[in-house]
Amino acid sequence: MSDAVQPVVEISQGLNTLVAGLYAKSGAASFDLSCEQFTAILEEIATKYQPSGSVFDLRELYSSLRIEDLALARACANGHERAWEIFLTRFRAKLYDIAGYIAKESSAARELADGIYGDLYGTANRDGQRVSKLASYTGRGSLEGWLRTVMAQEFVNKYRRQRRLVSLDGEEEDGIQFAAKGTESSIEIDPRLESAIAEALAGLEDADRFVLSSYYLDRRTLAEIARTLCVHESTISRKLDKLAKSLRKHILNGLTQRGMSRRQAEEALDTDVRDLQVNIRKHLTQKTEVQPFPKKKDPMGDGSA
Amino acid sequence: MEDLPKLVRDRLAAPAPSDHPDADLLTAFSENALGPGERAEIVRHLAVCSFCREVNSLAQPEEEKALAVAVGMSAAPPLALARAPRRGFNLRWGALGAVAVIVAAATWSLRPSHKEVSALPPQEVSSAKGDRRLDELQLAQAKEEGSQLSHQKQMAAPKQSPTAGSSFKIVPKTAVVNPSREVASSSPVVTESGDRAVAPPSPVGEFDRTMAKAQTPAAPAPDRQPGAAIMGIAKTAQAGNEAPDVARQERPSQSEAKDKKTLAAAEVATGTGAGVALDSTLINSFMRWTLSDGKLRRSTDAGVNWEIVPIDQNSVFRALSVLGEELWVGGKNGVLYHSPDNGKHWVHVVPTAGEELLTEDIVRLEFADADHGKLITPHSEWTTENCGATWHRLQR
Repeated sequence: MSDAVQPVVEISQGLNTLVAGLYAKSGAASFDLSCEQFTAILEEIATKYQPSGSVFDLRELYSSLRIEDLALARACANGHERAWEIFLTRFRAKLYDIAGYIAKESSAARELADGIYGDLYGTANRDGQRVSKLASYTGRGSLEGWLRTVMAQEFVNKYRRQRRLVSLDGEEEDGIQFAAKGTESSIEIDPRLESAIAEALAGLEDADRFVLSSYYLDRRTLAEIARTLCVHESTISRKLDKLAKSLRKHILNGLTQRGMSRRQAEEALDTDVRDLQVNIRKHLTQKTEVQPFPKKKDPMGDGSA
Repeated sequence: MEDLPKLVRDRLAAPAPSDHPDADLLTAFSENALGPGERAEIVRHLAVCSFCREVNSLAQPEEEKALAVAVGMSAAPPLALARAPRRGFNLRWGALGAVAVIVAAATWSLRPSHKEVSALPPQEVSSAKGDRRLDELQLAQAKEEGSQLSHQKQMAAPKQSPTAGSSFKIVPKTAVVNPSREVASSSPVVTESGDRAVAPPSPVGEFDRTMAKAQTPAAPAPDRQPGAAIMGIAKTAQAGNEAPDVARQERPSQSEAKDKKTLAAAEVATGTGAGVALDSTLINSFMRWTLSDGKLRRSTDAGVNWEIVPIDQNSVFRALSVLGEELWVGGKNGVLYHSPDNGKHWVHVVPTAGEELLTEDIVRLEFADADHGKLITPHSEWTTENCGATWHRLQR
């Protein structure tokens, strides 16, 4: 190590200066949050996101926080009246707007917003103390964005919970209550095809897999995916086309390496066994047309009749 | 679009992991506020977790707000900022508007002078007339010299801006410098070219004045070249009592003023100068930086198109740090460049610790603020606390 190494104490002092500056900037003092309390909040956030981070990392983390939103949220969690007034002024109407945007239906939206509002206020008690959901906000993103995400999580959770509880009448109406058990599990797919697909998918980069999953599984639009990845939708369009072709090529190559001919590989990839099953079922359940008149037998046996 | 075989789609749907990133991280991801490492982790998770993908999709703000939130603006951005996604649309109309204003200004300037001065209170008419005579004198002088640019100056010398109510306004470069009460209360306009003028009383609406005040009150950068500005950004300086003094300081001599005016007129005429007042924050919000093939690339349209930034043709860059307008880029053999103004100017930085010169490849650059940062090489870390003026070396 060189002799020009910066003393650790000096670096820590620099961090303290930064924290003091952030405290002043956050307006935490106006919510009766002391500098010590504010520092403790920052340390809690640092422990969560940079448990073994250097002073430099901490400096970077602290500088990136939405410090005003953080002070407001934590003051609300502490039950500060003025903070709540500000919070409600800023976000009460937005909560219902966001809920409407997420739930797409007024009663469900109201229910969602009311539920979240209760969580934010802190209806749950822990050791006799009210616990507000706002206490978990860490300022990594905007408070409005956080509220959106929390509501979206709650909505998806609720939706998934409700999907497990379906009405028997509804199932009966859908004609699936007494449906025969699926036989897909009993159908075995060529292990060479399985391994070739697994190998090709494992070779995908995370962002590529995200794009494929979003488009083909979640049915997201190009614009939505592009917005998430901060690129233009034409980029996503090109990427999808390229990925689908490349994936197909890799799987076909994998199949040929596993002993299939090119034609066999293409057939194996394009033919889904479940499609076959559906076709078989379709053919089996197809009613045989009743011929109005029985065909005459060919007396000559040469097909001339 | 190429379709995926059904079997591949089925295998793509991996079982969802049990651990999910918290709402804060997902929000920060949506708002593009994560570092590259954390962002990569979230993308890795989203690639296999349909639950979080769904949450992320539902938590996206509505179309119009998306970009504004992504660049870290307030929950309720001003009207002009809320229109950020339609930047191309606005700029096209802005360019059209600028042309219309130039034509209107030319027509206006040919009208009898008493109509122009009548916009001022009676007590200011005399001083305005005096300044107008000065302008006319300069114009006549320029005409005598046969300067083509002086003609452009005349074209771009509107006394009133007809753009009231629009989201941006044309800044009259040859505006009347009037030390009267009304002028003192209006904001002096400082342009990228270093020119500074006091806007005359004009029919510009209250909204425009508010927007002008809301713009960055930073001091002008006199060394900035006019051509370096993107679509010509005009900034407002400190408004208030300084205005008359500032105006006087900015008129050291007639020839200098004339040069500035003709230059500004040329900029307005070509549409590339500091004629259109746009929010620099908005422009910067569309800037993206990346490294590719050892070159620094820049996008001025939020990543749609990319261009190579020609800092040093022979250098291979491997590390980049972007913090607001502070850019650092480093690479092979310890080459390091710094730009304090969002890439307009670059300074070659040679990190030295004592007598030791950095010659190793820079593989990572991390800056927490304008002054404090570190660069990482395969065998050492170098830190600075004064914007790269001095460095301390730490053995890894």
